[in-house]
Amino acid sequence: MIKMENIAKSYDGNTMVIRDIGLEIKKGEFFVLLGPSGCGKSTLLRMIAGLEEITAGDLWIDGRHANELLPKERNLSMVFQNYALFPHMTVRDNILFGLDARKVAKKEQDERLNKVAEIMGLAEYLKRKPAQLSGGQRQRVALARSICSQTPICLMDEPLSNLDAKLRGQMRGEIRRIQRMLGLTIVYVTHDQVEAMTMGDRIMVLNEGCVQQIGEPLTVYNDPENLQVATFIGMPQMNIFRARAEQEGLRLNGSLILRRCGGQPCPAPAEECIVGIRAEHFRRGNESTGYVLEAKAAMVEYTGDETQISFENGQGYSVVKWPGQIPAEAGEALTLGVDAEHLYFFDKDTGHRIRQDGGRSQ
Amino acid sequence: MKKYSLALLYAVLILLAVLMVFPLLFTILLSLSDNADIMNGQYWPQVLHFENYAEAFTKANLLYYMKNSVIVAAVTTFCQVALALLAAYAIVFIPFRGSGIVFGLFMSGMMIPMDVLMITNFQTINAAGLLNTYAGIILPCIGSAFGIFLLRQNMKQIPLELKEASDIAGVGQFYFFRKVVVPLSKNSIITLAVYCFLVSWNNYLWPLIATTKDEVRTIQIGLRMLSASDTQQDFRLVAAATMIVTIPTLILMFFGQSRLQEGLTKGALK
Ligand SMILES: Nc1ncnc2c1ncn2[C@@H]1O[C@H](COP(=O)(O)OP(=O)(O)OP(=O)(O)O)[C@@H](O)[C@H]1O
Ligand SMILES: [Mg+2]
Repeated sequence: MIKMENIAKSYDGNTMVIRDIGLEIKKGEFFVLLGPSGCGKSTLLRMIAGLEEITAGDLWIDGRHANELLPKERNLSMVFQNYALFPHMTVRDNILFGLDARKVAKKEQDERLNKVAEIMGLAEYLKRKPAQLSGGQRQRVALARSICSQTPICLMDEPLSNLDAKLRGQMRGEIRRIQRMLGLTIVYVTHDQVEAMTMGDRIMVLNEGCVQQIGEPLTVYNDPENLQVATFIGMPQMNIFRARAEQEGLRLNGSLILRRCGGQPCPAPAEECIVGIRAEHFRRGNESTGYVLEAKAAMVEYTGDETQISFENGQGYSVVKWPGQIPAEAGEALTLGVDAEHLYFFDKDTGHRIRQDGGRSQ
Repeated sequence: MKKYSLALLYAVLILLAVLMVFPLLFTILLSLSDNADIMNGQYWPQVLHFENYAEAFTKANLLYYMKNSVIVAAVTTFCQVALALLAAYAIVFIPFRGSGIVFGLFMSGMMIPMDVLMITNFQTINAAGLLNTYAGIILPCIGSAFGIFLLRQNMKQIPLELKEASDIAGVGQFYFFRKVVVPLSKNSIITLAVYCFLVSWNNYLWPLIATTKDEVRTIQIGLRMLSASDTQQDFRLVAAATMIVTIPTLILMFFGQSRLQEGLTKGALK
C-alpha cells in the first residue's frame, strides 16, 4: 500500500532529519511509527501526506509513484495532534468538510454522516461547535472526518496525546476496533510505547531519523536489535550494566557480580560489553537456572498489583518488578536470579545486539 | 493612596472627555439656534429651531453630495477590504519565494503619507482621463498597507493545520479562503471596513483635488462650499449641515465601537 525506498529529508539542506528509510506497509495494516521526541516521526508522516517535500528517495502509494503528487491526489486522510477542527463550523460541517469538493452527492454525504456519527457516538453533538465539546469528543470528530472521507489510508499524528490517561486507554481500543471493522491502512505516530505495543500490527522504532527496528510489537520487545530499542521499549526501562568478564562471573558496573549457578564461568560474548536485564526477568531467590545476583534493596514501592524494588548498581539504581505485594524493606539483602535467555548482550561501542550461539534469534 | 490616584485618573479622563465632546455639543447648540442670537453672542438657544436641519438639507443640496459620498466610501471600502484580504491571504497561506520581501514592501508603503503622493496621484489620474470621475477619486485609495497588516496579523493566528487539513481533503485555495479564512477573520474584516469607511467619508483634500466640477464631489466638499459660498456667514446652517454629515460616523462608531476596539487590539480567534 505504502512503499518507501531510501527516503531522506533535510529541511535546511545540511542536516538530515530523516535518513535512508525503506519500508513497506501492507493494506489493512496498523503501522506504528515510534520514537522519542524530535526523531522525525511527524516529518516522515507529513512526507507521506505530501505536506513536506521528499528530499531524496522514492515513495509509492497504492502502486503509484507519489513523490510529486499533491496531498489531495494521494487519496488519504489525516488526523492531527490538535485535531485541526474548524472552530466556526458545526460538528456536522467539520465531519463532512471537503466532501463537496470531492463531488460526493448530498444524499451520500448524509448517509455517511449518519453511519459514522453512530459508530463514533457523536449523533447528539452534530449541531455543536468544537469549542462546546470535550477533548475526547473533539478527537472523535477528527476521527469521524477521516473515516467519512472513506480514503483507504489514514495517517495519525499523536492523536491521543492531548487526552487524559483514562480516555486515552478507551480511545486506543476504539481506533483499533474501527480500523479492523473498515479495513483501513493506518500509519500511526506516537512516542508512547504502550500505544505502540497495544495498537500496532507492526512497529517501526525510529531514532534520530534512522530506523532502529521494524517488527511485530512482541518481537520488538522480546528481541530488540540494539540498545536504543531495548531501552526505549518497556516500563520500567530495561536495566543496563557495563559488564566485564571476571573469574567469578560478570562484574556489573565494576561493583555487583553476576554469578553463574554451579560455579561455571560466565560465557560473556566479549571481555567487555553491555548487558541488559528487564525488571520483570529477575526472579526471587536463587531458584533460577542461570545466574544469581546479590544486591541490597534501596527502595520498595507498591503500586497495588506490583512490587518494584530498586537496588544500587554502582552507577545508579536498577529496578526489579514482581507481580503481587511482596513483603520487603529497604536495606534488606536481595538474592536475584536471572535465566540465561533473559540476558541481552550489546556491543559496548555500537550498541548492536550480540546474539550468543544463535540460540535466541527468531 | 489608591483612592486618590483613582480620583486623579478620573479627573483627567473627565477633562479629556469634556475637551473631546465640547465641539460636538457646541455644534449641536449652534445648529438649533437662531442666526441673530449667534451674532449677538447668545449661544444657548431660546427656542429650538429644528427647521434649520430641513433648510440645510435643501439649501446646501446635501442629499446630492451625500449620494456621491456614499458611493465613493462604499466602493472604496469594498475594494480596499477585498484587496487587503487577498493580499494577506497570499502572504500567509501561499508559500512563495520572497513573500517576506513582498510583505516588507507593503509595510514600507505604510510609512509614506497619502499627502506626499497627492501630486503624483493627480498627474496619474489626469493622464488616465479620470478627473471628475468616481474612479479618479476611488482608485488611489483602494490599496491599504494598514489593511493588509491588520488582516495578516489575524490570519497568522489561524492554525496552519487547518490549511493542511484542507489540502488533504482536496478543497481548493478559494474554497478554503471563503469557508475558513474569511469567517475566522470576521472581526478584523468588520474593523477594517468601518475604519476604511470613516476615513473615506471624512476625506476632504483628495476628492477636492481630483474634481473640478460638482457632479462627483463628496459631502465634505459640499459642506465646505456651503460655508464658503454664503457671503454672510450663516453659522446655524453650517452647524446643522455638519451635524447631518457627522451622523453616519456617529452611528458607525456607536455600533462598531466595541468591535473596532477588539479588532484593533487583539486577534479575532479565541
Ligand atoms: N519546518 C521545519 N524546519 C526545520 N526543521 C524542522 C521543521 N520541522 C521539524 N524540524 C526538525 O526536524 C526534526 C524532526 O522533527 P519532527 O517534528 O519530525 O519530530 P517528531 O518525531 O515528530 O517529534 P515530536 O514527538 O516531538 O512531535 C526535529 O529536529 C525538528 O527540529
Ligand atoms: Mg511530531
